[in-house]
Amino acid sequence: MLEHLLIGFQQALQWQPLLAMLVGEVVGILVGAAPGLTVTMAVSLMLPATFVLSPVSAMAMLLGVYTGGFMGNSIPAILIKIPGTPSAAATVFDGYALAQKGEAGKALGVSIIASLYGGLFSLICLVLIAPQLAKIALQFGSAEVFSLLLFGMTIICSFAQHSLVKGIISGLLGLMLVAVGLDPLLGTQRFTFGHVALLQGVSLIPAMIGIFAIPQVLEDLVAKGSQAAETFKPKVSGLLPSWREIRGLFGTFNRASFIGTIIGIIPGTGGPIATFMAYDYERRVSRDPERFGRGAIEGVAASAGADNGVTGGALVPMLTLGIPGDPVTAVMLGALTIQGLRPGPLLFEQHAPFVYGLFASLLLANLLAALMTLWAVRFSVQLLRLPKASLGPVVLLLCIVGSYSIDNSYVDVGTMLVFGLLGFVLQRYRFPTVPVILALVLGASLETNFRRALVESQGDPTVFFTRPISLLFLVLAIASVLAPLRSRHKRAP
Amino acid sequence: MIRANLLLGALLALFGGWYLWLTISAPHRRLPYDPGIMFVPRILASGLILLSVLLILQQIIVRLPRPKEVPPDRLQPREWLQTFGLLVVTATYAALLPALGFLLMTPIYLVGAMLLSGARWRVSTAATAVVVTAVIYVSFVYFFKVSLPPLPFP
Repeated sequence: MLEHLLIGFQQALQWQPLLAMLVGEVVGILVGAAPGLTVTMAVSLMLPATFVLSPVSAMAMLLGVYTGGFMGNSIPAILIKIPGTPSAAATVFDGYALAQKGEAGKALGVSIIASLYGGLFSLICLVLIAPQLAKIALQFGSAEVFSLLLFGMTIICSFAQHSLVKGIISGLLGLMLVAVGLDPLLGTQRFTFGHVALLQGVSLIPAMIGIFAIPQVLEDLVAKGSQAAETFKPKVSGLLPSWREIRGLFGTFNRASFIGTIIGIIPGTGGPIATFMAYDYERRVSRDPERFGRGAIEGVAASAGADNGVTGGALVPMLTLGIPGDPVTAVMLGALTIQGLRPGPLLFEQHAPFVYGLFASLLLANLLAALMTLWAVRFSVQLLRLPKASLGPVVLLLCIVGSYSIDNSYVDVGTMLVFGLLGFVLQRYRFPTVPVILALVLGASLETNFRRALVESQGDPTVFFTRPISLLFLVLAIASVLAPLRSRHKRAP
Repeated sequence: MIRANLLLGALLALFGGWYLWLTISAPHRRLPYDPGIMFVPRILASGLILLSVLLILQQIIVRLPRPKEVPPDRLQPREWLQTFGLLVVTATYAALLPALGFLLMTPIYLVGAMLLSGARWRVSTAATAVVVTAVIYVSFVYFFKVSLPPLPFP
């Protein structure tokens, strides 16, 4: 293996792959940082450019976009409360709170380091135990994915600190809105009332942009009153956390990276689920969970670490089985096929130098992405120097342009505004908004896998309890719901 | 807060009822062994009705555990005007954008929204609006290849 790795580094360190990677990183970071633009879109846009490149250079460019996008997406999430991509939604909770305290630089620094750690952790897993990890992916059928997603939905209980009833109501509202559009199995219309615009259903990114950013802009407007000229005065000097702070976060980095890698391996899951799960787990193991959502640096580290941990994890089934773990790796699979390579068990035997060249490129892409994002942060933090009275309208404009740019559709802009208003009303009357987002992220897959599992098992509902992995997640889901209820009961006088 | 929760509980229960009615009145379509396209929505609507009733009961029955919630600050008339003014201006901008174009509408919108947000009218306000418009237009149109409508009535 060592010999193959050396050959891989020899290939990856030539000027063509390095230049291709640099271009990919720039595009990835910019797209990740621009609200509304997705990493999948950026990888797809770069795909034609790879036709003229060698296989290693082509993959270096796409990996550059992939890692750059996952690191860049935390910049708007932390600075202006707009997640660059759905995966950065969990970074918003504590990242923005830290930015409001004047610690935007520290939050961004930790997010980049956690991202780098997650990327390297998943890469090591990919290099050392990819075939073994691929077997885990094969164990996941519809019943297992449904149970995993149901377990993911129980995170709602953690976000409904004040009122469990209101938390579950928010989650139900989100799930009901997800049902609008075409039925996931039959493709027939549901709740569309004959409107063509509703056929595509609720678009996730505009909904997320609206529900996070608009209530914040409106609340800031009401809260600040006469202090319109006030700015956040971000501390850019404290960009890199101290060694002591990093050492204190190692446990978080490991847990988040592990969750990100494992979730990345499972096809049909992806970054948003991993980040929410890692964030929730970190809150559960914390000695002081009350700090989460109010500026806990562990929250930022957990979501960013899991986010980039997904990158290596998602490559495992793609390279070893030819099954893409997420939409981005699906595009990469296409790029490999165009290059005349066929992912699967034989790829490691027949094209070992290429595979190890890809591993080396992923390592370099992670390091380069971290360095470039750290550099980019110094400029992006200056955005907060705008007076609040100007920053709010600029954020609203970015919300509109970001929502529109997903599909060049004004329907998405409308979705964003409607969800913004919904978020404002929910937030004002103390309904948590995170369950709505969680439901939007997980809802469609939850229903699809539930019904598909029933069809596959010929209508046998015990399929969820008789398959060991599915049962395990169901038990975890029940425990996850009961644990906060028990602690609440204990706290009650 | 009790009154607001009662009102919201009632509204949510009504919404749940309407949603449940939609699931019942929709044509029954399904694959073999599939519970059908309205099975999950029906469960969700029933759950929403139940929880909305529970929310109402929490406010009425003193013995039921009631969450300790901080009521939202009461908005002053000026703040109402600012909040909903900003929302209306933003929605109007989004609606007029396809007809009047990004380059014309955006600086006007930004200046209007900034004034509504409490900024004073200065040359720098207009300059910020123009610069932000230019930066966003150039980066999205030329770099990210997003087809923002540039001018009125293309």
